[in-house]
Amino acid sequence: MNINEDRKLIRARDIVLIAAVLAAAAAVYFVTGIFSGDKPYAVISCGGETIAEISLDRSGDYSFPETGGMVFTVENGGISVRESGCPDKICMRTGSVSRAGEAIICVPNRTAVTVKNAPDEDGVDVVLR
Amino acid sequence: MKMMIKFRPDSISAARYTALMGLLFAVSAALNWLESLFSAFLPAGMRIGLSNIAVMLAILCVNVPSALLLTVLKSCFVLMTRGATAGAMSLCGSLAAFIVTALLFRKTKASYVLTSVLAALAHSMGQLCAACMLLKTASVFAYFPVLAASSAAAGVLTGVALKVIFPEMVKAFGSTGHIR
Repeated sequence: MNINEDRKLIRARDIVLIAAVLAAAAAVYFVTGIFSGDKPYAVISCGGETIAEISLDRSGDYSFPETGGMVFTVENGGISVRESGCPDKICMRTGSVSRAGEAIICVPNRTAVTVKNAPDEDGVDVVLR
Repeated sequence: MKMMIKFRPDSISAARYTALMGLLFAVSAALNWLESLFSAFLPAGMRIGLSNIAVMLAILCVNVPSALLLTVLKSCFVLMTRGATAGAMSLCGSLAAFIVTALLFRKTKASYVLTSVLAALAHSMGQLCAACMLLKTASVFAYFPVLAASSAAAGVLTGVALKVIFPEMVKAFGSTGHIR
């Protein structure tokens, strides 16, 4: 007999499993928020190399030779990608990130913006590598 | 000389097989395009995974080697239309989803919805792993919560679609009768 002939659309335990996946996703999202400190800063990396560290208090536009035409904008305590030459613009559509653990990635540009907690009380201003 | 891998099941004629595979590939290409329209309205990185339906149908209606062939062809289509990076991401995601679907549909009685939710999750994780390797940073996994939630939603949709379409495919092309 064909194994697919009596296949069910959905079972009760599947709903439990899907709910568990959604709960895990929500938990990961909220737990990262709890551990976000007062002075988060953004680390911009390209191909695994850190290019710059920017305090999220320092509003302004930033661009770097390594990341091509990307323009990073810091405002209202968050960082976003305002311009990018990549095809899908996923990085731009991610919007602003401000909590430690959040990130913006742009795969075509091999670029990641990761928000981290400041290592000490003074926080980070702008560090270029 | 005999071929090492047998793509066409004996129960389908060569003409029917060509038509069926052409149809499934056309469906995957068209859904890929439709999906990119939808993705523009969704938050970053969310793909609703519609084009997975074609590969899942191939596993149900044809056989596993043909489904693998379709997976690779689908990624080649992405490679040609959206570039090397998108092609590599597509291949990693689709292969992960293909493996999960093939196992669940061929070895278990897992429901349509469960299979397509797990396949969509595998697709997301495969893409995140590909992005992780390309960017050399684990930061990409920050996208996991949003991708997991969208995969669950996409999986429910594709599962329902499969339940509706599969019997019609059997009516149109006959059961390929892969015996357990």
